[in-house]
This record gives sequence, structure tokens and C-alpha cells, in this order.
Amino acid sequence: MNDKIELLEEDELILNHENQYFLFYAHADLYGIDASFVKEIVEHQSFTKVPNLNRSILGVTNIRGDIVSVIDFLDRCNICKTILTKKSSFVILNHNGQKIALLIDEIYEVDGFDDARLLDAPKFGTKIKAQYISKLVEYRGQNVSILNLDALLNLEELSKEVR
Amino acid sequence: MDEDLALFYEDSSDQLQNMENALLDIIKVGANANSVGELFRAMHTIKGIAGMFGFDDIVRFTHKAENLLDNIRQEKIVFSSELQELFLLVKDHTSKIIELCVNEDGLDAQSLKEQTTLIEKIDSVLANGDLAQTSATLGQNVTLDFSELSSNQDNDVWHVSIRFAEDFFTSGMDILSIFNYFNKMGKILFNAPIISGMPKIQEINPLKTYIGFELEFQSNATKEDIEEIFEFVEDDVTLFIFKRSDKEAYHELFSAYEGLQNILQDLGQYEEEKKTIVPSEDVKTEMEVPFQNENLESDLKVEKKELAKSLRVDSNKIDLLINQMSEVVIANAKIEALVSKSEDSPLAESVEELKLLLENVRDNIMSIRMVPLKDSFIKLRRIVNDTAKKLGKKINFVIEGGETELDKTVIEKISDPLVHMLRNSADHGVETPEVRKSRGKNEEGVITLRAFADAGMIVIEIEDDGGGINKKVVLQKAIEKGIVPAGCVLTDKEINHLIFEAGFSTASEISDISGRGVGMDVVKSNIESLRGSIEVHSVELESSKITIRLPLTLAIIDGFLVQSGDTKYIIPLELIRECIELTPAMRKSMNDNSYVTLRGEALPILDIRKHFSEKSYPNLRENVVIVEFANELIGLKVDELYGEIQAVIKPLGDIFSNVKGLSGGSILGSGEIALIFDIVNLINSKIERS
Repeated sequence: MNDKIELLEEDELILNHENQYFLFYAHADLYGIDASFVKEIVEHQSFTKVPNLNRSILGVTNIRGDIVSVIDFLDRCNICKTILTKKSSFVILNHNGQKIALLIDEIYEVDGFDDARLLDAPKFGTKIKAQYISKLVEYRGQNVSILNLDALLNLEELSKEVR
Repeated sequence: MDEDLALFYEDSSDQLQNMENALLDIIKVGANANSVGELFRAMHTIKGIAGMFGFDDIVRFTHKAENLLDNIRQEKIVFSSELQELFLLVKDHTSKIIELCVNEDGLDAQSLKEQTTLIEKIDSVLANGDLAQTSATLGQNVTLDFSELSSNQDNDVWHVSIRFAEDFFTSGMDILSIFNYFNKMGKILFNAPIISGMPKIQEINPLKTYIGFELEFQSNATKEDIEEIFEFVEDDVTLFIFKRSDKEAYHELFSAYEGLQNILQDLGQYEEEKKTIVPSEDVKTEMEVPFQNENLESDLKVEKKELAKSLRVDSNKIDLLINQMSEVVIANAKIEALVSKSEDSPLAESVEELKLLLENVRDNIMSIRMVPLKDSFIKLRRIVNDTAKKLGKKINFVIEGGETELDKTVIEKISDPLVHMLRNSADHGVETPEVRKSRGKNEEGVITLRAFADAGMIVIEIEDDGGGINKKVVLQKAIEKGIVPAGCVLTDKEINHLIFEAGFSTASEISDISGRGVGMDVVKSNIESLRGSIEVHSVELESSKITIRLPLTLAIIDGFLVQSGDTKYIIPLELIRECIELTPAMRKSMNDNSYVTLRGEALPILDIRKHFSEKSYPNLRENVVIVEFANELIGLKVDELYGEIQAVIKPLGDIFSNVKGLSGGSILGSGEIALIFDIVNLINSKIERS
């Protein structure tokens, strides 16, 4: 019985083409991440610097016994260094088997968007590099950039040694 | 490879290993019932499991081999040394076809050809062996059978009633094999298949079991022994086992199965007044297999005992357990730190108690990964034997301390270096019998492989009583290759260690045995990558000994915690020679160079802060940790020294894969993360850059 109900719900989701997104503020702009990648959100905490890497990689931190890499979202997008406040948080992402803590300014909301509402990102004109954005959506009168994690967390780019 | 297949592969590899051990024993000390039994069991098991997977090629081949072994076991054929050689080939071939089948490649032309020749050989042995069969052994067999038949009938005749559950076949067992077991244990005097549960033919589902049996079974086995036959299927059968003389039990049986009394009475197998039944050959089931009973029965028992002793667990599960246990220990360290501030002594005591318990648990979990070196050592025996034979040398290979335990991952990683070093010993070390004679030594050389625990590390020694390292030749070669400048004077130790230099090879004596691929430099770097060390000691014309030291496990590192800039680092303790303070005088003498002179020698200094491009603050107290790397001393300049620490190594993640000189991270008691230095890579990358 239970299985059937679950199946129905899944069907509904597919029919509605609705995905859940995690929304957050960074530098007063709203960004969204496909919620299926988000493992948990924790208050920001101290981390250990790992030298000789891309400036946006702050280092590693201990999330319940796992060593997780910390990336400053704003710095990664070449906007500025995130200034730590009380509301700063780590979004723990599970992306291609890698655990990554993304430093953001503030948590906003988790909500579902119908696929039909998603707009293609413009070729240029966005604050962050267009390749980091997969879609745009309007939410409560504000523009939300849905992030393309494959580009944002590109392993080859991030793991390049910097001297 | 799916999971079952992987299990099959693992299982059969174990069996092949058993087989090889037994074979080598036989070659060394001659055949006895035990070792031949071992061989037979291993072959039999492989055949069995291969059959379950439908690997007909393996079954066909192993069946032949099993036949041969059975004849040997019954002493119909003498296990001559030629036969032993043949069997080694048979074993190798089995291992090959198993690999092919598991990889779903099927047999290629070459292995098919090999198989045909082997089968032909076995067949010819079987044919000749049968002729050679002595009448004496025949007579023995007959009397044995006879004595069994004539044993007291009434007391050892059992009535066994079997009903199979409908889905019995899904248990993977075969009814036929149950009868085989019966036939091995005793004699089935009477067998009535009960088919009353059989549906109409159009309703028969071939996957289901409808049949039952009522047996009269003669054996001196106990009820438990008979029940053991059904050990693996006990949930899928309904059993009644009782002595035929037990009237009560019959009533119980009949009340369980309606109409059974009539059936048995019709068949003349049951009367209210019991009559004696004359055992007759005719009622024997055709499923009987002509095995000698006692041997097999005891063999089976041995097998079962071995099964119960060990449990196969996915090693990832153990890794996870070790990981989590380490977290618990770390978490407890935090509590400890808090408690020590609070001055609550009963609480402190309980925490201390908990700490000891947790450490015990951790040690025990660690020990799960530990396996005795014996198995991997014994594998090496073959290599020494083969090498010796190829070179016409006589070598006695002695294994000592095989019970010493080591982390399985470490064992896997040292097996190749060991093979190489043993080949070296057999090839370059031990001399030919003639030379040995002329040197006044026993013709038979001795290579000893020894393992023991020493000061928290495992020591493995390979010692041979051969010619030792010819220092003159080695030095000359080294000069020729430009490894050392000509006219340079080296100590004996330094010369011996030249063999570990890259590019060093005694090319004049290269053979197809050693000097294939791996050089001693590779061996050395393999050992060092396991955080171990290697040393060689040699007395010319007398002996040479290679000593390898390895850490007990790779999961934990004994380290020294230091800080440089904002980051804490752990340096592997075994590499550290000493720590010194960088005094202002020394700093001045450095004069912007990166070396200091210490006790008359120039010591290169690697500034960790600079190396990892961190900001530097002048006027800070600076310390230098001196590490030994490739027989050279190198200083690492850091800020703070904290002291020794036992650290659990954790991976940093793929993002950090390109950072040279870090092998992982470790979580400290405070929850902070310290980075673990990979000294070898750190210094190599430094040397590359300068």
C-alpha cells in the first residue's frame, strides 16, 4: 500500500514538473540551488586553511567527523569576499560524491517552482558569470538565479594548484 | 562483476590457495591422507560452487581432477612427483578458467588446448592407475564394506521421514545431494517416495517440490548426524527421524501424515508386529555414490568447523566502523577536556573509565582488519620453489612468525615487493650447489622469511645464506652509472644501500627471473609509501638480510603536531630525527639562504609558511623539525611545536588532489582539522621546483 502512495506522489511531482529549490541571499541577491543536492545547512564554523588553491577555497571544516571543503560562494563568483555575520551559513552540498560547504550570507526559503516558470539565463548581463546560472525565476517580486552546480563546482577548475 | 560472482571468485581463490598449500606440503614432505584430503575437498568445493553458477567448463574440468584425486585418496594411484607436478598445472589451469568464467570471457583457444592436454594426461593416469591397482587394497575395501553391512541391524536402522516445502528448490539445494549424503553416511535399505502431494500434470510447476520420502536408513550415525545432513535446509523440510524399533515414534508420524500407515503397510515396511527386514541390494537407490564412507564423513565435519570459524564481511563496513569509532574517541577527548576544567572528580573518573573502554573497543575493531601474514607468505613459497628449480639451485624456504598480524591493505601492498625481493634472493643471493660446495656450505641454501612485531611496528626480514652483496661490484657499477662519483669512499652500509638507487641494476647478471620490471628502487618507494622503511645488511660470501619495517595499520598515524601560520600540520613521527629552535644567531647566519649549518653539515630548510604561500610575521619564535628522507636530513621550518599525536587519517577530497605534500587530514580533539604532511612528495615537489 505504502509503495503505491509513494508512487502516486512521485507521479504527481513528475506531472507538475515541479522541483524543490533552496533559496539564499548572497550580497543582497537571491540564488537558488536544486534542493536535491543540499544535504544540510549549518551555522558557519571555523575551518582550516589549505594552502595553494583557488582563492575561493577557504579550506576544510569538520562536519560531524567528515572533512568537507569550504568554498566562499561570492568569491567563487568573483563578486567579493563574503563578510561573516551572525547569519552566515554553510550549505552542505553533495555534488558528484564530493561534499562541499558553500559559504552564503543568509538562508531564505525552500520552495517548489513549476518548470514552466523557469526562464533561460541571458547570455550576459548577470552579476555572476552566465555559465554559473542554469535558469532564472521570479519569486515574490525578486529575481532568483538558479545555479548550475556543475559549472560552479567544476572540479578541474577548483583543484588547480595556485602559486 | 555482481556480488554473488565476486563471492564465488573469492571463495574459489581461497580454495585454490588451500590447494596450493596442500600441494606444496605434499611436494615437500610427501603425501598423506590429510593433505590429499585437503586437495580433494578444495577441488570438490570449487566444483560445487562452479556448478551453482552454471560454469560447465569449470565443472567438467574439476570433475576430472576430482576423479584423479579420489583415486589417489583411495590409494589406487600413487601420488608420484610427476603427478604432483601435473597437479600443480591442473591447479593453475583451474585458477585460469575460473578467472575467464568470472569475467565472462569464456575459454580462449589456448586455454582450451591446455585443458584438453591436461584432461588427456589425467585420463591416461586414471587408466594406468586402475591397472596398477593392487589386489590388497581391493580386498581391504571389500572387508570394510562388509563389516559395515553386517553390523548390528536393529539398533542402527533409522526411519527417516522427509517432506520438502514447496519452494525447497529455491534454497539452492538439490534433493539428489541429500541422498548423496545419506549414501556417504550409511546405507539406504528402503526408500518410498511419497507422491500423494503431487498435483495433476497440467498443474505441476517444475520449480516446486511435491515429493517426500520415507527411508529406512542403516548407519551407526547418531540422530544429530542425520539431522546435520539437513543443516542448510532445515527450514524447508519437515523431518521425522527415529530408530526403527521405536513404535511410539511411528504413531507420531502416522498422526502427522494421514494415510501414511496404509502406504507403509502396503509396502510391507510397517506392521503392528514388527518383522525384520532383510537388507537387499535391490532397494538401494540409484543415487548412491561409491565413496568410502568414514573418510568423507569426517571430512565434511572438518569443513563445517572451518566454516563456523570465520565470517566474511565487506571491508568497507569495517572501514566505516573504524572511522566512526575514531570519531567517538575524539568526541570523548572533547568531554575529557571539559571535565578537566570542571574539577568534578567523580565525573572525571567516569570519563577516564569510558576512555579506557573506548580505546579497547577501538583496538578490537582495528584488529578485525588484521590478518595473519601466513597466507600471503605461503603463496611466496611457490615462487621460491619455481625460481630455484629454474636456476638448478637447492633452496629451503623457511617461514617464521607467519602468525604475525598486519592490516590487510598493507599486506596487499607489500606482496609485490616481497615477490621481487625473494626472487632476488633466490637468483642473486643463493649460489648454485657447486659454488656452495666449494665455499664449504651446505648444498642446500636457506632463505628465511621472518615476521615479528617490534616497537609498534611490524618487521619483515628476508635472510639468505648466499653470497651476500659483492661490495666491489656494486660500487663499480654505481660509479659506472654515475650514481656516485669515482674515487669516492663509502661505508659498507652506504654501499649496500646503493642497490636501492634508481637506475641501479646489476645488468651483467640479468636473468628472466629477477630484473623484470620492478627494481629495488621501486620496492623501496613502495615500502616508503606505506610509511615503512627498508634496510639491507650483508656479509660478503656469507649472508644478506633485508629488513622491512611497516606500521601496523594505514588508518592511524603516529604523528607530531605543529603549526605554521594559521594551519596545523601533522608530520609522521617515524621520519622525525630531532627538533631544534631556530635561534636569532642561526637566522642571522642563514642570511636569506635556506640552509643552516648544524654540527658541521649543511641542513636545507624548507619554510612551510613560504612553501604554502602564507603571510609571514617576523619576530616569531621559529622551530625546525628535522626529518630524514632518503638518507638525507631536511629541516622543516614551522612556528609552533605541540607534541606527539595519534591521528586518524581521513581523505581531504578531490579538490585537494593537486596540492603536493599533503596526504590527508585528521580531526583533532578540539574538532579542528590538521593537515597531514606527505613528506616524500613535499620534498620531491620542492626539489623539482628548484
